[in-house]
This record gives sequence, C-alpha cells and structure tokens, in this order.
Amino acid sequence: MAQYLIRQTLLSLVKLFVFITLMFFLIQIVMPFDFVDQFAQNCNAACREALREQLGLDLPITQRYFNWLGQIVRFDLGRSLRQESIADVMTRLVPATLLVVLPGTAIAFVIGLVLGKFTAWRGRGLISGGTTFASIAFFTSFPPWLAFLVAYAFSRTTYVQRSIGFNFTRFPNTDPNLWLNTEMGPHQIATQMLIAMITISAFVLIGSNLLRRYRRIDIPGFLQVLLIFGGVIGSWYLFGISELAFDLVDAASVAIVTYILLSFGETMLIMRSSMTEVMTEEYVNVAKAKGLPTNVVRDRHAARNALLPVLSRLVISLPYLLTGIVIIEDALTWPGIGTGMMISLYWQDIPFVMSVMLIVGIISLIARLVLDVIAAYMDPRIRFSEVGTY
Amino acid sequence: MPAGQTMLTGLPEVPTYTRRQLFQMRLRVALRRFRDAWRIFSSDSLAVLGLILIFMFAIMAVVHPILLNTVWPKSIYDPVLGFDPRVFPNPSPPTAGHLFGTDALGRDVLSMLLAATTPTFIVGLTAALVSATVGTIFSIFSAYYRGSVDFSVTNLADVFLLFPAPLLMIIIGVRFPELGPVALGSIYGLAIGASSTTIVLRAQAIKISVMPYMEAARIAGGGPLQIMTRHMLPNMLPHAALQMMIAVAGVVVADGFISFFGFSRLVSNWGTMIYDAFVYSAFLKEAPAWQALIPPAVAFTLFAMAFYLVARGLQLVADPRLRGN
Repeated sequence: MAQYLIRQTLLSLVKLFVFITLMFFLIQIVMPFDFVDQFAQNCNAACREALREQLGLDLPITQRYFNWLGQIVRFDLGRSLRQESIADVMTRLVPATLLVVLPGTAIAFVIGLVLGKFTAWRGRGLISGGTTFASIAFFTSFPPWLAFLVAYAFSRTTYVQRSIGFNFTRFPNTDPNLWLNTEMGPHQIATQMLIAMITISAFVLIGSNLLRRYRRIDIPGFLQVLLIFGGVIGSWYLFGISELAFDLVDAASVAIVTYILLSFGETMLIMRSSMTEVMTEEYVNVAKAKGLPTNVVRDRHAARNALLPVLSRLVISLPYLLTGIVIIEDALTWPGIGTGMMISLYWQDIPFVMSVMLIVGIISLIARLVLDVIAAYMDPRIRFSEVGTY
Repeated sequence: MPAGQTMLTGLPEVPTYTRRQLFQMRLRVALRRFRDAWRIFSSDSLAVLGLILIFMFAIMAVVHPILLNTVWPKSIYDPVLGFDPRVFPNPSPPTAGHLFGTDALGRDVLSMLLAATTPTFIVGLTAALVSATVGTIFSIFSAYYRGSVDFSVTNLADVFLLFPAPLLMIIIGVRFPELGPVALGSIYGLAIGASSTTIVLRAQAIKISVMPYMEAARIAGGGPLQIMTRHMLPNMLPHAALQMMIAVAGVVVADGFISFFGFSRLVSNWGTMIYDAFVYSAFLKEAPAWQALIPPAVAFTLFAMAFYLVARGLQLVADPRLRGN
C-alpha cells in the first residue's frame, strides 16, 4: 500500500510539472498579453521600458519560465503584476471555493448514490424514468441559467438579497453589521469551518469503517450523515464562530445548491448503471434466495460492490465539476479562485493565472490521489495491477 | 456419410460463393444485427425520446432558412437585425405573429432560437467526432502495445484532464472572437474532449485486447495494423459512439458560455440570447424577459440531454450486462 501510494504521489508531481509547463507556454504564446501597454497610460516609451524591466516582462519567455519555476520550487508564489502577494490573495480565495466544492461534492455524491441505488433496484418504470430524466436535465442544463433560477427562487422565498457587490476581500451577500466587530475575515472563518468539516467527516467515516471491520457494529448511512452534520455545526459553537459561520453558509447557499443540482446527476447515472450490472451477478440471487431482507441485499450486497466503478468514474468527471464551479462562481460573483482567474485574465495578469492553474492542478491531483487510495483500499486488485485504476 | 462431406477427410465441404452472394449475406447479417440493436435500443423509452428530440432539433435547423425565404419577411424575422415596427413595447409577450414574443431589441425569439440550431449542431458534432476519433486511435494503440506506450498515453491524458475548460473558453473568446463552429468544435475536442474519451475508451480497449479472438488473430499471423483495424476497431465503435454522444453536452455548454461572457462572436447562439436577456434585464432594471430567456435555456438543456439519452440507449446496446435481468 505504501509503495503504491508513493508511486502515485511521484507520478502526480510529474504530471503537475508537465501540466504547468504546458499551460505556461500555451497562455504566454496564444494570448497577446502586454500588461504594460494596456495599463500604463500616462507613460512614455522609456518609462514603459523601465516598467517592463521592473516587472520582468522584457526577458525572453524561457528565461521567465525558469525564473517562475525557481520561485515555485521555493514555495513562493511571488507577486502578481498588480503588485499583490499572490499567496495572500490565494489564502482568501481558496477557502471560498472549497467552502462550496467540498460540501457540495459530498452532498451531491450521497444524493446521487441513493437515487442511483433506488432507481436501479426498482428497475424500469415511471418513477425511475422520471428520476433519471430529471437528473439528466439538471446535469445538462446551462450552469448560469441554473444559478440564476436558484438565486431567483431563494431571493423570492427565504432570504433577502443584501449587498451585491464584488471585490477580492468581501464576500457577497454577507451581513455587514455582523462582520464589523470581528477581527477575523470571512476567509479565516471559512478555513476554520473547512478544517472542522474535513476532520469530523474523516473521523466519522474512518471510525465507522473500523467499527464495522473489527467490532462488527454497523452504523447506518443516514446516522453517519447526521453525525457529520451535527459534529460540524457543534464545532462552530465550540469555536464560538457560529453566527459568522451561519452567515457564511447563508451567503454560500445559492452557490452550493446550484453546484449540487449540477453535479448529482452524473453520480446518479453512473451508480444506476453500475448497480444494474451488479444486480445480474449470482451472489445477489444467492443472497435473495437465502431469504435475506430486501434492504440488506440491496445495501450490503449490491450497493457496496457497485460503489467502486462510481469512484473510478468520478476521477474522470473531476474536470467537469471544476468547470462547473468556475462557471457558477462567475455567474454568482462568488469570490473564489474561479472568479479570481476570470478577473486576472481580464487584467492580463499572467503570474496570477499561472498560480491559479497551479492550485487547481494541486487540488485536483490531491482529489484523485484520495480517490485512488479509497479505491485501492476497497479493491485489492487495484493495488497489485499493472493496468491502472480505471 | 452425411451429405456435404468429402470422402477423403471427413471435413465439411467449404462452399464457394460469388462476391455478390457474399455481399448479400453480409448485408443480411448487418440488417439483422441492426434490427436486434434497435430492439434493445427502443426498449428504453428515454433513449427513444432522445432520438425524437434530436430529430426535432434537426427539423428546427432545416426549417429556419426555408421559413426565412418564404413566409417570414427578412426585415422583421432576421435573427440578428430583424425588427417589427407593429409591435410595441419590446420585449413583448407571445402573439400570433411572434409565437415566442420578441426580445428587448424587438427581434423575434423563435427565429433566433431556430437560427442558432445549425451552428450548435455543427459545433457539437465536430467536437464529438474529433474527440472520439483521437480517443479511439490512442486507446487502441495503448491497449495493443501496452508497456511504455500505454503508460505515456494514460499519463498524457491525465495531464490534459487537468486542462480547465473555462480558461480555454476565455482564450477563444478574447483571442479568436470570430472563430467558426467547426474550428471551435475541433479545438474543444482536442484540448478537452479527447482526454476523458481516451481514458474511458482505453479501459474498453484493454477488455477487448484480452479476448480469445485477439489471440486467435495473432496466432493466425495478423500484423499489428490488421489486428488493430480489423479486430479491435469494429468492437470499439459502439463505445466510441457512446463517448461521442457524451462529448456533445460539454461542448454545447462551452460554446454557449463563450457567448455568455459577452464576447462577440459572429455566430449568434443560445448563449448570446441568454446573455442578452440578462443584460437587458439589468439595464432596464426589470425582471428578465421570460419569453426571451426560457426558450434558449430549455433548448440548451434539451439539446445536450437528447444526446445524453441516446448515449444511454447505445450503452444498453453495447453492454449486455446493463440490460439487467
């Protein structure tokens, strides 16, 4: 297992390097960026040259590439052309994106699994067909339109849109009075919430797995979900950030709901076909013939084995999810890395765009690594195979 | 001795057929296979619905130029410059003359909707063809040669999988605002569609490459090219078709999204319509003109969904285990 893990990590690093190199040259060659010509308006030729030299834009492209790579290797993201420290901006943007993506993906995954399981178990019929149709409709809908619909529905019913405005530091739709007297910014609260969320869900999931394995105690799925929810909300009270956290969740809710609606369909479709395949296996018939209750056959014998292809297919749909989140962020002006990327592209700020690429690459490679590890844990064949995960 | 066996060897006598007879037999086999496939495909009502939707969009694409040249006067119904002086105020709700009403600039929504169908078809099908072709070729190579070829293809596909689609869309929108549908589809297919297609198809190709008939072909002395084209490719085609259908959904959204950013592209499409509806609603400080907003949004969903539903039907044909008990 350790050997497998090390091999995958090293491979990911090589992939990241290749990806970053490709992106650097692609962006620099295809886009006719010239930050100085565009934005240094009250400046004569000599002053422009000086500016270029100061920003390092006069160097040839290979030289710039190696300079930038040297910075990255020293864990220094450097400064953007707008003279902000990129690492500072990123610590503000990344938690905002993860605050939408992590709970969104988890909830969408659970919804997709449950719906896929039940529709496959019911077989063909009006209810299954209708559910499948609705899932595909959400999955293939135009993301900005979906975001608009969700925002419209929310603003009509539950919440009044407060301040709609965007900059890098303020979260949209947050209650300004609440944040006036706090020392911590939204990104710090978001980071705390994320850490709590990840720790508690890892604790619950691994703990219940161990219990099942060694003590034969089975904690049902909905109880695990309840435990995670309760634990996360409890941790906010424990940290004393509950008001701010609820405000953030309120602000993020439109983006999270849109993201869930957009992404649960794919999991549901894969789970449905995977479950249909598993249901033709002999051991399901044997389990039924033994006289086991239907829900035990469905949940323990069929669904657990159907889960593996879903995990490996999720790897392939990661870029689709990332595209979705960028579009949603842009449509709702949610201050995450997607919006950051868009705005810095308009600003022609190449170092910033490259840092976003780097972080997106790291996040998706980490996600793939986690999925790989889970898949290898669930299926020993993967650990020893030459063929690969999928 | 049964009839039809030669006296010396006891083996059945091999009958000789003319080329014409062989062709007829092949045709009959192909027809029967098609009929079987259609029976399986049509057993899934959602897949049939998808097919009907695709036909509907095809009719929409065909009907627009005909209508514009016969019934609809160009000055009123042109999708870009049309204006109806009899209608006031704009945007107006649906009337008998304008079935879906008019947008904020007084253009007929139905005409715009129909006009956008052809470019969307072209973009979607080009991207699908490109990504499926590239994916099939690479996956067959990597499954046949394995080893280092397989390693490099898989990992290269992984790298391309990281490629963020929105970045590509902005680059196209800013740098190549006048890109035609074919070029856009090809670029999307190469840069984004091909990687996931390769990964999925490679798994299928590997399943095929360990089949007994591949071994038989090797023992019979088939060269690499013959084995790949005559034995692997035909078995890959259903899966490639399936991946094609799935690729359509991605590129249609991408194409719409480039327009939704507000980058002027020569081809007006559903994304432009949605963008216009939002922009004018913000400008007029009103709720968006629903009659101009809902048709393109629904068209988007239905278009991408039609291909997805057909893909599910094809999956049923290609993979017997999915049919259930």
